[in-house]
Amino acid sequence: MIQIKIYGLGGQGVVTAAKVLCEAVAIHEDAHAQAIPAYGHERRGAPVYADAVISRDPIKMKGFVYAPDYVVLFDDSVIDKGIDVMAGTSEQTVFIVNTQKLKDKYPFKSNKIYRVDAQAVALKSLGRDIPNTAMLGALAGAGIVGIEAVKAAITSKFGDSAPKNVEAAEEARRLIRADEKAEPNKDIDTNTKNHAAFVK
Amino acid sequence: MKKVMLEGNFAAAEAMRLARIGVVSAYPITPQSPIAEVLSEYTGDGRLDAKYIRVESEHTAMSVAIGAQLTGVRTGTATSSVGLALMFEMLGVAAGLRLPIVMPVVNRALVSPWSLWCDHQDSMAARDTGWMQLYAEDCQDVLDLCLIAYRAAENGDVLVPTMVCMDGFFLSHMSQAVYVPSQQDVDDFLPPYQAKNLKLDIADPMFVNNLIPPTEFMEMRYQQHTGFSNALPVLNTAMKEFETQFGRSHSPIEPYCCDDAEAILISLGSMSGSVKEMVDQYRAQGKKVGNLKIVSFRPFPEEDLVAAIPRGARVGVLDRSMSMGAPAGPVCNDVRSAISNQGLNVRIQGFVVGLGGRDVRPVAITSAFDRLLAGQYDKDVQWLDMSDNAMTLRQYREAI
Amino acid sequence: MAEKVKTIYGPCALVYCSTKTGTWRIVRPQIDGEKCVLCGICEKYCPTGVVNTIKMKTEDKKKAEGRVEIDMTYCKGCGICANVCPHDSITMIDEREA
Repeated sequence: MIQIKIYGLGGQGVVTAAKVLCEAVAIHEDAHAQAIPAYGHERRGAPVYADAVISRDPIKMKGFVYAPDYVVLFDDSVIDKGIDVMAGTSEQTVFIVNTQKLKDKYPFKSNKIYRVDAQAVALKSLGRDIPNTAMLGALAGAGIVGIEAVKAAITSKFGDSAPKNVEAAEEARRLIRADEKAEPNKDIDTNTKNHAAFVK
Repeated sequence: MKKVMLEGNFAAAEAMRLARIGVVSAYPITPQSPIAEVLSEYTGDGRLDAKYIRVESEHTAMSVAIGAQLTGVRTGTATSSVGLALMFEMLGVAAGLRLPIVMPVVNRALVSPWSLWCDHQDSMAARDTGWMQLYAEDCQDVLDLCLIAYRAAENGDVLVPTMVCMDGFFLSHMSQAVYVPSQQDVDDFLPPYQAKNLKLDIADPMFVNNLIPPTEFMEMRYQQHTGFSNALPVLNTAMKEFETQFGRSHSPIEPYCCDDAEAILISLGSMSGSVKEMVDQYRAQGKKVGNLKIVSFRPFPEEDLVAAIPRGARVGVLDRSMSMGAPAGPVCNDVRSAISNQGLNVRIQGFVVGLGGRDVRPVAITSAFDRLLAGQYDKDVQWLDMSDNAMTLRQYREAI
Repeated sequence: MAEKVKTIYGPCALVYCSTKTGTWRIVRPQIDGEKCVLCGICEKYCPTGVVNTIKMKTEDKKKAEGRVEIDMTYCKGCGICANVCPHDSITMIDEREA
């Protein structure tokens, strides 16, 4: 079972991303997944989060994620807005961050970090700063889910704007990297069922 | 049958579409709104051959459903929280007229304090209105229990309206893969609706819902009581038939690892899944605990419930609502009465958890199990996972 | 002065934390002083009433002089001002770049 927490700002498509990730895993990879959005006093720009759990076996737990294996930041300004992105994390927790460069303020500097400039990818592919589909590609690049499943789920969810969003996902998957010196992502087998977290 | 990602709300709407409801009258309320919206979409684009009657309140939504169902069609409505409270008067009318309306209820706390989020106070407050109440654990349950509810409620020996309850947000807005059966399979399971009792028919007029004097009132209430007595075996049968048709099994109560359990937590709805997850973790440490999920709260499966509890097991009940002034929450009170009615002498620990959207976190479940395993018993209901400053949340300084 | 602590039961707010609506903003209006004619339409449409058009008297009556002030403590960045501006003199720019 892999538990994922996605933080971002209202309007960035955080909830949609959690749903599309789960559709990719549950429908297109035939594993199990559930997306649990947290609803509150919504407004554009306010910090929001959504939880996703993906698993090879049926998922019993029905609540929120308290010990994330992955923390995904659609916008690192949530840290300045008082969101404790370290909540429930451990040394093993992997961070996936939408940013141009890693910043000193990150409280997770000793954790494994994947970085991608999803904002730039989204602006290039979609012409709008909605990084959710690019970040879904980044999740595939980080090995959480297969890119083909992500593309299929985006295609079924986004209708006419699917091609642009698929492009964003592919581009972000290509650009994501684990550290500054690493080569851009190589092709890796990222079907959820073969994921390292399931095998351990 | 196809597998699609659905949130609980959409799973309920799919079931209503597949049951071929002919009239929709739903008033939107958080977190039920997507049901009202998607039924409107379905009627608009022709996926559902139904008339959508716009109403100005939940009271009217239920009134319209009652009038429409009397003409011989299945009707669709759904609500939450204060919407259910505003419907209260008409809930009794639907039940008294013996109209087998099936209504998804998206559980949300009642005011006040204002809350948009999940607990069971709304449906628990309506538990004595004469409706069956089924509680779903996941999104597949929502769809399945709705279909089962039509089949059971419309049985001529039952004729009792039914609420299919799902936890607000935790189920209503959670995406899961749900198997949606084909229209043909559902048509085989649910034949076209026929008004089996009261009906509005111009060719054969009837004055419905007139004043009943004391000389007949009790008898008519007894008829309702008999409908409920018949409901449990009919529900059991409907669940078996559902399994034959669709391959998924359901039961009015579902024990999980109860056979050899030393401590059992009884629960309703989505939190049962979380309790089962914790049962797995306890079992992995060699601690014998179990979960007993109540699917059908009304009718209350008293005998099966008591039979599922092994002798000597310590039992606690997780209530997601409180019956103020009573010894414990409504589920706990019923379990205690069932135990006593079956001639057993077992103390049942009452717990209150997860009010107003608070997640029933692992810490709440473990503290309940640990209390039971340690043999602690308190006749007062225990409120779990609550902050220490409950009584001093709001304070201010005043000059004297 | 002596004080005593009083406790209130039930829902009420004693601390107001979300009234500074400027914290909601993810984009902010940027005014192009060259294009702006100080017509004041943005001021009329602003739902939070934070736009203030300041006009100064000048000798040349055809050319208005002054400035548009926006109270960023309360501007939510809704963009209505940019939408209604007849001279396209308001652009919504990313708050992070501002």
